[in-house]
Amino acid sequence: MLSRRIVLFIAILFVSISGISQTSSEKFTVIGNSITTNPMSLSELKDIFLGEKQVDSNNNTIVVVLPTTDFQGAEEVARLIAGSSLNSFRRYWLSIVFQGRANPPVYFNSNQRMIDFVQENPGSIAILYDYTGSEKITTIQINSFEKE
Amino acid sequence: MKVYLLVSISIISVSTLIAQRQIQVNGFGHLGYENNFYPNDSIGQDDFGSFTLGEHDLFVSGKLSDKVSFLGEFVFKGSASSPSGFLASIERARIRYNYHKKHYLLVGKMHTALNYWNDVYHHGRIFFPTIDRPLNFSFFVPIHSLGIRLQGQDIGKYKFGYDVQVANGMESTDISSSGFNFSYNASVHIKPKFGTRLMAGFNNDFLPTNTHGPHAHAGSFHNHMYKGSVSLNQFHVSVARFQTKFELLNEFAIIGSRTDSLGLSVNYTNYIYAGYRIKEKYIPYVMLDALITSDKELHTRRMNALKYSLGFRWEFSDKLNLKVQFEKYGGLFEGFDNIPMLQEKYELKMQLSYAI
Repeated sequence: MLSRRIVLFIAILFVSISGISQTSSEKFTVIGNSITTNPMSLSELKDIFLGEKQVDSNNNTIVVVLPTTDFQGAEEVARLIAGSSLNSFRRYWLSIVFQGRANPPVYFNSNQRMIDFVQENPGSIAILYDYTGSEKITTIQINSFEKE
Repeated sequence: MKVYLLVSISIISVSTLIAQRQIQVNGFGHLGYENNFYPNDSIGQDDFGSFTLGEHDLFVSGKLSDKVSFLGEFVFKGSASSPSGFLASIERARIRYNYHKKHYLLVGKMHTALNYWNDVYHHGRIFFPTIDRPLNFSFFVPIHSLGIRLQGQDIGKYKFGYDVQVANGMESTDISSSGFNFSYNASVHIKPKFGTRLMAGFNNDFLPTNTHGPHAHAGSFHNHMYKGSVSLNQFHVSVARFQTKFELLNEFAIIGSRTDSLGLSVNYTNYIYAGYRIKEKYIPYVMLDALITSDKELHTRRMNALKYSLGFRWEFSDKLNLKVQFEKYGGLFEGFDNIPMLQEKYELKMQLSYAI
């Protein structure tokens, strides 16, 4: 009993220090560090991952973390956000950065690398796919995840 | 020399920042092949075919601080007039400050946000839906501008955006401008659906001696004979729909140029592209591009041109595509092409575009 309490305490402490939060659905887990828009709708999540919402409600700049082509679930993330293929989604991001309408995103090829980056970078947000890790972290509620 | 030095310094600075994951560096470029035929040639032009090296573009973008970002675009391209056979140019170098939520202040050299094409594609051939820019880019469009801009984007339900800019006029160089001849540009757009953008833009410019600096690509179509003053006002409307199977881009413009000699000249231009995406990566398309200049036009050479083409784009990946395009320059309508150089001209073009 005591050991469970200690584990819980450490988990809460970890969350408090890092400011990390996450939301789970069937396959997608959204994690963020000090993102003040929490909870958010799926529409807001899409806006962020399409570079159309670049600051949170406190006017802090959001750093978008995207999957590389070899990330397991990259196609699914592209479908969730843009309703398109991964190629099309990546070309879209290449284009908006080239236009100068968005800051460059950061790319990682695994859930763990995304978690590590988000832990270290306030304002960052990432979508994990099929995450089965053991981190006990608070969720960002994605209000309409199930509906859409 | 200054350009090479600046590019070198930028590359060194960039290397440091890359290590800190704060910036993105890309290379964009294209290689091409072009075959021209003149079946009813009236002025002695020879058919020819040629491979071309195209433009090669170093692109740098990154955050300088939480609210400030930098974007630079440096282009290297072949040039017959350069002793080395190549020219380097700074196409964009601008700093953007996010002063409030979705509102920004930009300073530096930018592509003028006058129409969709110029605001979105810049020198990235990989993004072009067709091989060439619309005809109007060789006549009236102030492609670059060096100045200050207020920008807003993705505001409200319809993702409203605006760009309001004061910049050196078209006659200026990247180093200076004479007198107080500024170019004024304002545009607005909405994005009612993902991939769809409707845009309208207005530009006013005054050219005291009807010369053009590096901010326009008029080149051989510019009227170098006329050295009087020109007041240019142009209004552009763009309709763009991408990220769907059916792709559409329409660029319409009406351009008024006023001179003391002949008064107001009103010119029209329209470019339309339509493509259909098959299995994600194959896009057959058609394009029609028309330009009608007034008999009173003095800023550019008077020209009524019509160009239409059938093409195919093969997107191997997000970083590589191939376009093959067959074009005909010529009149569908009586009196449409009154310049012999454009009579009965056919072109077969191929372009391999990359991004790294």
